[in-house]
Amino acid sequence: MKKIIYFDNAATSWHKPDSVYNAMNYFMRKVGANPGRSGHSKSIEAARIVYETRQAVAKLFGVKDSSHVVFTSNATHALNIVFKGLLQPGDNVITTSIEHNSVMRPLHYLEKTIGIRITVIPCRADGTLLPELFEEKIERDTKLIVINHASNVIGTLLPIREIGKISREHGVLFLVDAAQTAGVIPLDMAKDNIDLLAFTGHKGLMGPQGIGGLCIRNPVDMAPLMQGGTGSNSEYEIQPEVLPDKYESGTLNTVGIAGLGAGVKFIQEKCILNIRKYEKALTEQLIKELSTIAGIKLYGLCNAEKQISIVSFNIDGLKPSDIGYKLDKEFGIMARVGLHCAPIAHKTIGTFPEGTVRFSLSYFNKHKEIDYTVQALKKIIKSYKPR
Amino acid sequence: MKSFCLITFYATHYAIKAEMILKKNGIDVELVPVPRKFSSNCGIALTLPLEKENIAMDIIKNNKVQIEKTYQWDRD
Repeated sequence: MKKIIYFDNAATSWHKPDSVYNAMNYFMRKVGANPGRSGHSKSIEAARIVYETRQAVAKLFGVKDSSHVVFTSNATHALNIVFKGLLQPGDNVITTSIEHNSVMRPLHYLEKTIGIRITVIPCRADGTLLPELFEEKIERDTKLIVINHASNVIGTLLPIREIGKISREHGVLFLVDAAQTAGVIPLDMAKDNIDLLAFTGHKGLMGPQGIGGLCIRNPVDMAPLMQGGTGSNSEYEIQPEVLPDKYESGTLNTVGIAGLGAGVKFIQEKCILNIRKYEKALTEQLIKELSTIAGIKLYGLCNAEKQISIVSFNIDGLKPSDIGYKLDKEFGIMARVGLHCAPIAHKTIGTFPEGTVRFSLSYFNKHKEIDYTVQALKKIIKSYKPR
Repeated sequence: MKSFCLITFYATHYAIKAEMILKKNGIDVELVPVPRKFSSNCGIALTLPLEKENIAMDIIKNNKVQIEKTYQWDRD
C-alpha cells in the first residue's frame, strides 16, 4: 500500500485504536442482537454494552445521570434535535460567525419556516470573540445560545465556560457543539455551564462514523425529532417521556455504540490531558514549520495553546483544490480543501469563496509526518510556474 | 413453585442499571422477559429471591435507580 499521511482528522479520525475495531467485530460476531427490544440473553448483553457506553460518555462529560446521554447518528443529528424540538416562532437564538453548517443551516431553515430570529456575534479574523458581546445581545425572547467549542476551519477555541455563565445568569439555554473537541479538550457540563452538549463519535472520540449523541443536563421542554418504537411503553401508541427513550426511536447503531465505548475507554486510559499535550506538540511543530515557508499564508491564531490541532493555510498563486490534489497524488498526504461546510467561518477569516487547505491532526499522527509534509509543500511551491 | 420478587422498569436503561448495581452489591439477580400477567413499560424485568427484597430496595433507593413497580412472582 502506498504511504498515506492522514491529515484529515477533523473530517473523521483515522486510524482508530485496535480496541475499537475489536469491540465492533466482537459485537457483530458474538452479540449481534437488538438491545433492549427482546428479553433474551443476547438482547440483554447488547443492552449492557449500550448502558456501559452511556456510562463512559457520562463520565467523560460530567453528566450525573447516564440516562441523559442520548445516542444519535452524529453531532448534526444531535443539534437538529435541539433546534427542531426546542425552538418556537419568535424565539431568538444567538450564535457566532465561525459556526459549521450543522448549526447555520437548520437555524436558517427555522428562520424561514417558523420565524425564529438569529443573532450572529462576529468573531475576529482569528476566530476569537469577547464573551461580553453575548450579554449585550440577550433579549427577552432569547431562548438559546449555541456555539462550537472549537472552529473546524482554524481550530480556535471559544470561551465556553464564560459564555455558559452569561447564559445561565440570564436564564438562556446553552448548547455546545463539541464535534471537534470531544475526547481532546476536557469538558464538564456542570463546570462549563453547559445545558446541552452535542458530540460525534467518529472524530476525537475515536469511534466509527454513524454514532454521536446529545447530553442533556436537566430535562427541558423539547420535542423529539422522531417518534417510533423504543422498546418501552409498547402498549401505547404515544412516545414515552422517559429518558433516554424519548429521543431514541428505532434501532440504535449498536455496533457503533460498541465502538464508541471502546474509543472513550481508550481516551480514559491514555488520559485526555496526554492526548491534548501530544496533539499540541504536533500542532506547534506544524505552525512553526509552515510559517517559515515563503508563499504560505496561515490563518487563525497560530497558537497551539489556544487552538486545537487544526491548521488552515493557502499558497500564493495556487488554488486550495490544486494544492490538495498535488498533496494527495504526488505525496500521499490527505487534507481537506475548500469551505469545510463552514462558509460563514471562511467569510469571517477572509477566504470565501475559495476556501483553504486544512490539516487536522490526531493522536495517531507522527512528528516525522509533519517533516515530510513540509518538504512536500516546499516542492509544490518550487514546481509551480506562473502562467 | 418458588416465589420471587419481580421489579419492573420504565425503560431498558434502568433495568440494566439496577442489575449492575445489585450484582455489584452481591445480590443474585436475573433479567427476564416480563411475564404477561404483569404489565410494564419496559419488556425486561429483574427477579431476585423474595427474602432479598428489602435489602435490594435499600440499595436501589440509595443509588437513585428509577423503578416502576415491585411484585411477588410465583414461578413454576
